[in-house]
Amino acid sequence: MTRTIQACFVAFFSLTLILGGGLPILNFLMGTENSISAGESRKMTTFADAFQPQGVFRFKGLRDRLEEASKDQIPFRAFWVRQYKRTLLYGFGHEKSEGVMVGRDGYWFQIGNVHYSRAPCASPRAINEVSTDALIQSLIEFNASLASEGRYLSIVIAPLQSTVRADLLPAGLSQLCASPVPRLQKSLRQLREGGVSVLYDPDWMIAEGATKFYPPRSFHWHRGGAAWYSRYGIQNGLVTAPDFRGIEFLPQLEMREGGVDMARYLGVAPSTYKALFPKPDKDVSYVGTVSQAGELEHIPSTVASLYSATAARRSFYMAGGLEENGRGVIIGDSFSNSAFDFWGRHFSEAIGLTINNADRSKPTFTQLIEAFDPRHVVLILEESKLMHIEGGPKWRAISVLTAEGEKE
Amino acid sequence: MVFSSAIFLFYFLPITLGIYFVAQKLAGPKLSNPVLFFFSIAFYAFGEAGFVLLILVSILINYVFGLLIDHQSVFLRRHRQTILLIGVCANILLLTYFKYLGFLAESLHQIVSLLGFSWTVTWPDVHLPIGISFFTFQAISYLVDVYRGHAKCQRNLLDLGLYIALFPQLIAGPIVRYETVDKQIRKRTLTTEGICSGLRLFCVGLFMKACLADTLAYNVDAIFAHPFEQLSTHVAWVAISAYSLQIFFDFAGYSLMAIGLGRACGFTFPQNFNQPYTSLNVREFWRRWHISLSTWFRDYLYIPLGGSQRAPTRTYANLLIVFLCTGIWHGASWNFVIWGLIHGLFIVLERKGLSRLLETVPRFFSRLYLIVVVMVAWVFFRIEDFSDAATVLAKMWFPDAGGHPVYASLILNTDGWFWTIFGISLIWSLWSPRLATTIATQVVRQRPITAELVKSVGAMILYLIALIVVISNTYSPFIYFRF
Repeated sequence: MTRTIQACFVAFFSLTLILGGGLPILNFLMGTENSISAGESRKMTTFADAFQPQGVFRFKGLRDRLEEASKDQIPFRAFWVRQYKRTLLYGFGHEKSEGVMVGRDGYWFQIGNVHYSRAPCASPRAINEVSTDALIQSLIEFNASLASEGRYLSIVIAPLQSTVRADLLPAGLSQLCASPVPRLQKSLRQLREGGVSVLYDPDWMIAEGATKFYPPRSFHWHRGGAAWYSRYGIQNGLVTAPDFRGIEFLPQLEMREGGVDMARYLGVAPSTYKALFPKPDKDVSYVGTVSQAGELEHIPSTVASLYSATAARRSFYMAGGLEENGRGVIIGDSFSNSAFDFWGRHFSEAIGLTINNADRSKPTFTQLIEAFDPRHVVLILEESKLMHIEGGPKWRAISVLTAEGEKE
Repeated sequence: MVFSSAIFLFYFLPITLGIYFVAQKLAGPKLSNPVLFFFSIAFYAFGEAGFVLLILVSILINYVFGLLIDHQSVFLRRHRQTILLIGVCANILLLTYFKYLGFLAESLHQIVSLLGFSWTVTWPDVHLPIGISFFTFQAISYLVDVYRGHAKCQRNLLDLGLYIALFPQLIAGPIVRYETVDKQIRKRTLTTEGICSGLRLFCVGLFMKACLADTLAYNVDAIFAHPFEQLSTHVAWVAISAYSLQIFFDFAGYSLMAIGLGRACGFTFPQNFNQPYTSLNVREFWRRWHISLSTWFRDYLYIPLGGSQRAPTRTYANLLIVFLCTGIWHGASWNFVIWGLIHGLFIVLERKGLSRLLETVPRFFSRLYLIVVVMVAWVFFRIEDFSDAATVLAKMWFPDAGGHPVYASLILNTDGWFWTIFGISLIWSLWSPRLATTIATQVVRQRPITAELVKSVGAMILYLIALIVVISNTYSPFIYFRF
């Protein structure tokens, strides 16, 4: 009997290993590997990718791709990941790989962003006053440079979920410290004094009931905020572009709860979603990309924008059809997808760039401005970006954008 | 390739074990040894393709020196000690070049600068090959064991290669001494019981590494990513407590996986951890922590230096030398030297009378003493910069040192998963092995089938949980890889 139990255990163990590796190999041989994870909105690495003839002799690359493929192609991976994340989220209030914290009334907050808005004096990374000031200064110079060429710059700052719905933060979380002059306020003051048009008014948003654009389980909490905000700014003449006033073109803003990435991925929201904006109609069309990304592929979880599946670039071109407003360039983070769409409709033509890739895109930003000749440049940031210097590609990108001629 | 990666679990392991079992069944070690050697080299090549030649050269050098030490010619027999010395030096030189060259040059530069001279030292930026500290120590163990006559000289190059490069213990130990596995390399049998118990150990080790250590690591790394002056006292203690648990489960888990895989392949590797945090003093701690390293240093350094057989001052000096080497073995940096010396210093103090004092107080206080000493030492292990380490120590010991309870309020106060894992880890690491062993022995004796069932089902559950975590997690640092 003892030997039978031991044999059963060995058989069970072996079976998990053989299935874990055998099924993906079978899929590879049959050409049925899973290449897209709709829930995570990303491309999966396949063994077919790993064994591409052009990369097979570069050992390090091959090794990395094999490691990624072996992880991505595990049978029923999405199911297991979902159960794990749900357990952490609902059982323990945190899901750290996605950076989610559960607040009151089932509200979700992004851990990093909570940190920014609740503890401006003690960020995960040290506040670098010199770098922040230098960045603000470069934005001011950027604005002056554009203005000298007769262009407009608007900076739209989307408040975070934790700013708009601070009342729903977890009970164990108190205001950590009261900074006498929050970095954000200082940054805003510096920008405005430098003549930059900055749109930031969370109190107005709260008063207007804009909290509906921060749905309880949305991953990109400030997605709605950026678009809603832009509308508010344009309608009230707060954006430095006089010719925008009074134009009635706004589609009905609508967003269904939980209709975006994280909630869908965890299976706590319907698998179908309603986009913040309707799909492009006859007047608005996506016709290509400014990056060298190659063929575009639509990944289902993205909202009314096209992502390049073959490269990490998220740049797009859009024919908005409003000839009188001239051309526009919109720069933002991934949360700005809806705002890209919104802003793009205001111009004759628009190019959208994702900040992450702006410093790597070709043509360079300077070349783009020269070649595309936009009348308006819109920079969409989340509020934490004006509180702390993070380092990394985003800020590097902004620095590059604002440093004329440094690129290439 | 780490044991907790998908490519190891679902591809390397089943293929290797499958072919190995068939080879062992067909022709025994004569065929299975080359098979295992081949897969061990492939395992190493996957992580360090550029250094396969290095490990092969190391095998060849030690093979030649082993033959020379064992050679029966009068000349060579007369110079056995010299040959051993040259062989050991060759290994140490190899290790020094790859691991310590930069550190030595930098230290020399600092000393020269302190003396007021201006001298710029330049040294090549040498990559540290994975596992070099482990396989070098194993190679030295081979030469010394052959020299001492504790083991026979290995005349089969592949078999010696298998000892040095055997994949379960290749990159993170335990440091298996040659005399331990000498006979097993030549002859071993595979049994269902051995395979089963080996795989069960692997499952438990995987759980320790993937579920406990990696979960703790996430918050530990996040806390230590803060500017240290922002840490509050309780956050500093939480961080270093979690780090103490992380490093234990990280390394003990990996060792257990290695021991388990070794057992499944028919080898018996020594136990590497035995509930170290239940120790009552630092001496006992080192009999329970990284046992294969501490016994290696005991047998190949401490005893040759004279051990405790000389005058007390010489014994103390020997102890400090051993712990200096233990520290530097862990990394080419002064913080590891300090870490080792703290342990050495407290062992000296215990020898000088602290032990007797500790015996007079309740066990709780002895344990508290051990845990505090070890945790303070971990600060230096974790933090390379002395001023940063001093800041953290100040935060730990002086509550009025200021600072905001950032992570405590933001993450630790709301993160149930971290605290659950912290609690499990704490109970697991402080659980008295005596009580557990007594219960287990009783159950096994009275109800062997129930005991087998409980062990197997328990291992299965831990394994499945660990698998889900492995599949879902992307965060899996491994502390002992850099050694």
